[in-house]
Amino acid sequence: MPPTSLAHFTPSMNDPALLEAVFTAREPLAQQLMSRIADSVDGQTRHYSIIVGPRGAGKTHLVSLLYYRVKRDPVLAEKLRIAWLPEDPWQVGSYALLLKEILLQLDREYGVPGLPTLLDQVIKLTRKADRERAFERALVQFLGDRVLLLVAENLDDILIALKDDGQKKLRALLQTSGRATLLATSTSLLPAITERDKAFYAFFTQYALPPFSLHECVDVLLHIARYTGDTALADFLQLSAGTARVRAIHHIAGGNPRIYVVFYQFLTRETLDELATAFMRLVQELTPYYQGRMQTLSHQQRGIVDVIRRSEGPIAVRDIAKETLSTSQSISSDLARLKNLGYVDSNRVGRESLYELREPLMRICLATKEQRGTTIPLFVEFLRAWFTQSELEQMRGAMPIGSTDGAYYEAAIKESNERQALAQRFERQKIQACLDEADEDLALAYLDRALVRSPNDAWAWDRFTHLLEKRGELATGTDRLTAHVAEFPDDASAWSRLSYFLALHGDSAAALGASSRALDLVPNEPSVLLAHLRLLEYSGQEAQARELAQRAATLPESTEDPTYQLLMGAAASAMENPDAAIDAYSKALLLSPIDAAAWELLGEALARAGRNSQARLLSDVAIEMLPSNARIWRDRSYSLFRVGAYEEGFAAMQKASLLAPNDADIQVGLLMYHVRASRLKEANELAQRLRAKDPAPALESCICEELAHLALIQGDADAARTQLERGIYLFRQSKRFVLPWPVWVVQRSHAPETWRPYVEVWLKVFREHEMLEELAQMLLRPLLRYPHLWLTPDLAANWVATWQSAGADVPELKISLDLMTTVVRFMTTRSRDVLVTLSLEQRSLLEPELQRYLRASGDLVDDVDRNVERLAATLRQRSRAQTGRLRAVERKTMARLDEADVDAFLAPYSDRTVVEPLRPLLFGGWTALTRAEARELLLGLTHTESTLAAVIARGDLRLQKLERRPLINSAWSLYQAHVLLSGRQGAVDFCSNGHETTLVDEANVLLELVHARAIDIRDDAAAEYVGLYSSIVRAEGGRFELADTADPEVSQALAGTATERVPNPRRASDAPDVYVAYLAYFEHLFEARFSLTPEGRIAMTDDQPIGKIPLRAESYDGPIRLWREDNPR
Amino acid sequence: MRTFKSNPGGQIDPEQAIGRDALCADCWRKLNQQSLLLRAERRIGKTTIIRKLMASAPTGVRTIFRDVGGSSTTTEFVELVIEDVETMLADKKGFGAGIRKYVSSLAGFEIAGVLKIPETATKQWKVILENCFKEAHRVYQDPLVLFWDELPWMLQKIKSTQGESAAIDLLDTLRGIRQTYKNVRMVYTGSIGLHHVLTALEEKGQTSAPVNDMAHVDVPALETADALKLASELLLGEGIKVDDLPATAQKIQELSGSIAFYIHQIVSQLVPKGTATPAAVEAMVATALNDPNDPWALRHFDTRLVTYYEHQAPWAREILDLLANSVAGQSFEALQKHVGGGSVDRTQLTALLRKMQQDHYLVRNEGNRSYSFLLPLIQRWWRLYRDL
Repeated sequence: MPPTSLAHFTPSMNDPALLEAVFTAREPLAQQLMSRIADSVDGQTRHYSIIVGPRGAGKTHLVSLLYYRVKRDPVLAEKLRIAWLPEDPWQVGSYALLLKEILLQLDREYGVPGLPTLLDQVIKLTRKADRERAFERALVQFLGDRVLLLVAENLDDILIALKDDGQKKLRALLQTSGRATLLATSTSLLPAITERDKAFYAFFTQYALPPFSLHECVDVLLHIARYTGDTALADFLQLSAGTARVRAIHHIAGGNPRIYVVFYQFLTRETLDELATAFMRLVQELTPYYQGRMQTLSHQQRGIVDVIRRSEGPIAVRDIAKETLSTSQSISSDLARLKNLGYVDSNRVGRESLYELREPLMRICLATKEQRGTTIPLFVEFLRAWFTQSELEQMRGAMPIGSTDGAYYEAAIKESNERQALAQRFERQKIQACLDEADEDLALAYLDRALVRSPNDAWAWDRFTHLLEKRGELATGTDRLTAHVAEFPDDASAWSRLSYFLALHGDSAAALGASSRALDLVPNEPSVLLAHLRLLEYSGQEAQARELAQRAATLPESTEDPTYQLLMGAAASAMENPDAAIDAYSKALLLSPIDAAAWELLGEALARAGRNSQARLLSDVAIEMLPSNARIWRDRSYSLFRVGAYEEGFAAMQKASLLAPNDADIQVGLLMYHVRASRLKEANELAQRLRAKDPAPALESCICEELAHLALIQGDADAARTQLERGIYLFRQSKRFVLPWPVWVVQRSHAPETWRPYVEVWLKVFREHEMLEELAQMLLRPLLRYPHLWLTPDLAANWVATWQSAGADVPELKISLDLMTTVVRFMTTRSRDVLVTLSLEQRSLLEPELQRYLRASGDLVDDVDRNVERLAATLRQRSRAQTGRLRAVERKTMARLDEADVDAFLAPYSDRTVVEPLRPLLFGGWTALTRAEARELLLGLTHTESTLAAVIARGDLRLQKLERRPLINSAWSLYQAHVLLSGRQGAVDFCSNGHETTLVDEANVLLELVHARAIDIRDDAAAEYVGLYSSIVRAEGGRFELADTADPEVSQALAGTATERVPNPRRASDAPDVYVAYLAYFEHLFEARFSLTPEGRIAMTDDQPIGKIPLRAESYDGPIRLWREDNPR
Repeated sequence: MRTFKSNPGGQIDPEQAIGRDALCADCWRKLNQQSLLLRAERRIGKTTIIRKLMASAPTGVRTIFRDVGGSSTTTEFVELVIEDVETMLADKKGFGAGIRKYVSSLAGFEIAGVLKIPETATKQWKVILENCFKEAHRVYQDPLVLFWDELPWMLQKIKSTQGESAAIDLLDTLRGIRQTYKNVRMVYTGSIGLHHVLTALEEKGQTSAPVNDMAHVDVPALETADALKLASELLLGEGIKVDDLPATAQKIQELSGSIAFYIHQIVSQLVPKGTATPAAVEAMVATALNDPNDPWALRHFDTRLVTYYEHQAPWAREILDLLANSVAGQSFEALQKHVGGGSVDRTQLTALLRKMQQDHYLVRNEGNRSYSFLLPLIQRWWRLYRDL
C-alpha cells in the first residue's frame, strides 16, 4: 500500500485499523485517557482532558484512536454520546454556533429527534441568549441520563472564537449540567486556561505531547513499513544505514511525527539524482503546510520566526529584537508563545537564551521562495541532515575533483562541521547544568541525544557511562556500547569502555576480549594498556600480566602524563615490585590530584604492601580532594578497617553508600561491617537484598564469604557449608574470586573451644571438594595480613593448635601448619632467627609476608613510608588552597561584572602610590592604569562569566590601583590589582587580553593558557613563564616567590654568590631546556633549577639555599594575597 | 467505592469528596437558619462542596444548582431562575403553568421550550423574579435551596451591560425574596470575592447591604488527615508504585498545603512516571514553583494586588514579604511598624488586612492574634518568587 494512503495530513480520515497499526510510543497516554473517559460515565465524576502539542505532533491521531476505541467498547458506547467537532472548527464562531455544531455532530452519529424543527425555531429567536438556551435545553434533553463526550480539537481556536462571555457560558453549561466530559486538543494553552481569573483556569488536566525521540521515530516508520507490507524496508530500518536515515529524518523533522510519515518515501533513495528530485518534490509538497502554519501567527510572531529562520545558527533575543526593530522585552512573550507552539526551541548559554527553529525542514521549506530557482543551499542543508559526517566524507572522496556533486558534499560537510560545533557547545552546557543540579534523568536524556547526534563524542560517552555506572544501570551501558562498537568497530575508546562495563558485570572473559580489541587498535595508548593490565591481574592471568607489563615498560617515557605513571605503577605491581608501583602512583597523583583512579591504585598498592597507616593517612587527604566520590569513601573505609578503626570505617562505608546507593561493591562492604559487628538482622536483610539483584560472580563470592561467617556466628553449620560450597564453585570459575578466611572466626570469639566446630566445617567441605591445598594457603597467608590488630601471639598459637589437632590426619596441611607455627614464634619474638630452620624456599615464601606484617604493625618504617607522608602533606596543602579559592570565588554562581558594582569597587582608586603594596608576581615592566582606564577595562569584561567578576561581586573588596605588565609573545597581559579587604592590604592577580580574563593563582591556570595558545612560551617568553609559574606555587611556608634582584636585601644575599645583576629567571648555560631562578621561600633565598616541557609543564630539578632573607609573609584568601597580620615584618 | 483517579480541575463525585463531611454538616446547620455565602480561593473546591451539599441534603429539602457565570443581564438570570424553580417543583402542579401564564401575560412567550421574557418587560425583571418565588411559595412551602455559582462574574457582567444599579438591585431583590419567603435559601459562591464586586458598587455610590443576612462560610483546605487519605487513595487508585505510601502521601500533603486540587495535580503528574517517592514529589513541586512559566498560575497572587488594592498594593506586598519567612506569624503592631516605613495608620492597615483575609492571602490566628499566610503553599511560593 503506497504511503500516501496514510493521508498524512488528516489522520481522522484514516481507517481505524491503520490508526492502531501505526500508533506507537503513546500507548500509556492513550490508556490513561481512556481510563479518564471510563471514569466519567458512572457517578458524578467528569474528567476534562486537554492534549497539548504543536501541529503535527499527533494529537488528532491520538484523538481519532480514542474515538474508535470508545466506540468499540460496548459499555462506553452505551453510556456515552460522542460529539466529535471538526479538526478545524471554522464554523464555531460563537457559543450558540458551538452548541449547534455539537447537536449536528450528535445528529450525524445518533440522530437527534426534532433537530430540524429546533433549528427552524431558533432562527426566529433574535436574542443570542435565547438561541443559546434553546440549544442547551435540547442538548440536555437529548442526553438524558447519558454523558456527552465532547471531542474538541484545536480548542484554543474555539475559545478564542467564544471570547470571555462564551467561555463562561460554556463553563456554566458544563458545571450546571454535569453531564459532559471533555477530550480536547490544543497547540498551546491560552490565557483562558492558564490565567487565574479566567473561565477555564485549571479546569483541564493537561497532557503534553513532546516531540518524538529518535527511537520513537524508528518505531513509527517500522510500524508503517510493516503495515504496508514492505518487509524490505522494515529490515532496512533495523540496519545501521537505516538508523542513520532515520536519525536524519528525526533531526530535520524536529520530532514532528507528521513529517516522519511524509519522509517515509525517502528512506531507500540512494543516488543523488533520485534524492534531489524527490527532495524538491517534498519541499514543494510541504511548503504550503509550513506557510499555513505561519499564517496562524501574528504579524510580529511571523517576523520573529523569519529572523530566526535566516540566522546562521541559534540567535540571541537581543539580536532578534534588533532585526525586528523592537525591544527584548516586547518580543519575549511572543518568543515564549512560539516556543509553546512548537515553532522554536531555546538553549541557555550563560545568561543568554538562544533560539532556533525546532524543525530544520521548516527553514528549508520557507526559504524556497527566496532561492529563486537555486536549490543548492537547500539541498546542501538537506544533505547535511540526511547523511552522517563519515558518509559525506566518503562520498566526497569518491567524487571527481571539481565535480558538481562533489561540491554539494563539500558544502554539506563544511556546514555540518560548523553547526555541529555550535550545537555541541550548547548541548554540553545543558548536560553540565543537569549534572550540577543532580538531575540525572535529564542529564541522561540529553547525553543520549548527544550521542545520537554525534556517536563518537568522547565527552558525552564519558559522562554517559559514568552516570550509568553510578546508577547501577550496567546492562544499559553494556547494550549501548555493544551496539556502538558494532557500528563503529574502530573506536578504541568504545571498546575500552565496553570492557570496563563487562568487567563490572563480572564477565572477565568478555571484558578481556573487548579490551584486546582496543589494544589492537591503539597498542601504545597508556590508558588502554593500563586497563588491559588490570583486567589480566583481576582475572588471575598473572603470566600474561607480566608480559604486558614488560611491554609497557618499553614505551617512551612521558613523565608529565599521569596515565603513563599509572601504567608504570600497574606494570611494577604486576612485576611484584610494590615500592616502584607506589612511587609511580605517587607521581601520577602529584600530576593529577583529582584522579580518583590514581588514589584507588595507590591505596591498593599500599594495602598490598602492608603499609596500612600510610594508606589511611592518604585516605584522609583523598576525601578532602574528592569528597563526593563514593569509591574514595569506600577505599577509605577499608583503609580504616585495616588499622582497626572499625566504627570510623563503617561510617565511611555508609557515606559511600549514600553517595552511590546502587553500587553493589559498596553494599557488600557494608555487609562485611554488619557481619563483623554481629549486626545479624541488618546483615541478613542486606544480604537478601543483594542476592535479589543477581550480583556479578565476583561480588557474589564476597557475599558468600560474609554469609558463611554470618551462618557460623549464628551456629548454622549447614548454611555455612552451603555458602562455602557456593564460594568454592565461584572460585573454580575464576581464581580471582575470594574464598573465606577461616581466621575471622578468631575475631568473633577468643575462646578456642568454640573454634573447633568451625574448623571441622571447613575441613569437611574443602576435603569433599578436593581443595585442601587451597585451604592450606588460606590458613597461612591471612595470619600475617590484617589480623595483627587483634590476633595476639597467644590467640594465634591456640588457633594453630586447633588446626593441628583437627587436621592431624591431613597431609596437605602439614607444611602450612609448620609454617604457621614458625609464624607464631615470630609474632612472639619478632626475630627473623625463627626462619633459620626453614628451607630456602620456605624462607622466600615467608619473608615478604613477615615484612608486610612488621609494616602493618608499625614496626618497620622506611623511605617509601616517608615519601608517602610527604605526598600526603603536599596534596593536603593543594587541597586547602583549592578549597580556599572556591570559597572565595563561589564558582557555582558565576557572576558577571555588570552584576558587580564596579564603581563601588573603584571607590578608593587613586594615582598615588599604594602604601605597602604586595610584591608582584614578576618584576619590571609594570605600568599603572588611570582610574578611567581601569574602569573601562573592568566594564569591558562584561558578558564573561569570570572568576574575577565573582571576586569583585563579593562586595567587600576595594581597588586602589591596577597595574599591567604585558607578557612576551602574547596578547595577554598580567595585571596586579592592589586591593583593600576590610582595611587589609592585598593583591589579586589576573591575566587578560581585554576580552577574556582569568585569575592567576594556581599553576594549572597558566597551563591552560599555554594549551589555549594564549601565551607562547618559546624563546624569551620561556624564562618569563618559568618565573610566573613558580611565583604562583604555594606551599606550607608561602609562595615560591621570584626574588627581585633589584631589591637591596636580595642583592646582598646574592652578593656572596658573586653574581652580577642577571635576569631572573634565566636560561641555564649548561642545558637548553633548563632555567635557573632565584626564589624566596619562607625566609630563605634559593637558587632553583627548572626543566620546562614544550607543553608548559615545569619541574624543579634542583634547589640550593643561598641565605636568609627577611621577607614579609603573605596569607591567602583564595585568590587574594594579603599581608599576614601576625607577621608585621 | 470506586477507584480514585486524579482529576485536577474536573468534576468530583460527592462520594469521593474526602474531608468535607463536617463542613457540609455545618453548612446545613446554618442553612436551617439563613442563606450562605461560600468564600474560598479558586480551586479550593467550592463546586465540589456544593455538589456534596446537594447530595447530602436533608430529607424534604429541594435543591438546584446553576453556574450563573454565563449570564449577562438580569433578564437572563431571571429566565434561568424560573426554569430552575420550575424544575425543582416539576411535581407541583400549578407552578409551571402559573409562572408561564404570568410571563405570557406580559407578552412573553416560549419557544423551543425556553421561556422568554419579552423585551418590553425586561425592566420588570424584578417583579417577574418576585412573582416566580411567590408562585413557588404558593405551591410549595418546604425548604428550597438554590445554589448559584460564579455569581460575582454575573454581577460584574450585569454591571457592565446594565449599570451598577441593576447589579445592586438584583442583590437587593434576592435579599428581599429571602426575607419574604422563609423557606427559600440561597447559596452564593464565586471565583472572585463578592466583596470586590460589592466594594466596587459601593464606590459608585450604591449603598446597601445585600448580603448581610447571609452567613459567611470560609472553605478551608482539607484537614491533614483527610489530605493524607486523599493522597493515598489517589496513589493507589492510579496504580502508582510507591515503596513508602505513608511517607509519599505525607510529602504530597505537605507540599500541596492540603489543597485537594494540588493533591490531584501532583498525583496526576506522577501517573506517567509510574512510581513515586517523597523525593520525586518534592522535586516535582519545586520545579513547578520555580518554573518561570508559572504552570500553577501562582503569579496571579502578585499581579492581582494592584487590581484589588490599588494604591495600597505596595503595602500588601510588604505585608506578604514580612510574613513570608514567618512560621508563627506577625502581630498587628509588628506589621504596622514596618509597612510603609511605619507610616500607615491603624485604620488603613486594619482595613487592608481584613481585605487580604477576605481575598485568602492571610489568616488571623486567634490564639496569639497574629497574621500569617492562609495557605502554606502560597507562602512557600511567595518566598521563592520574591527571593526572600
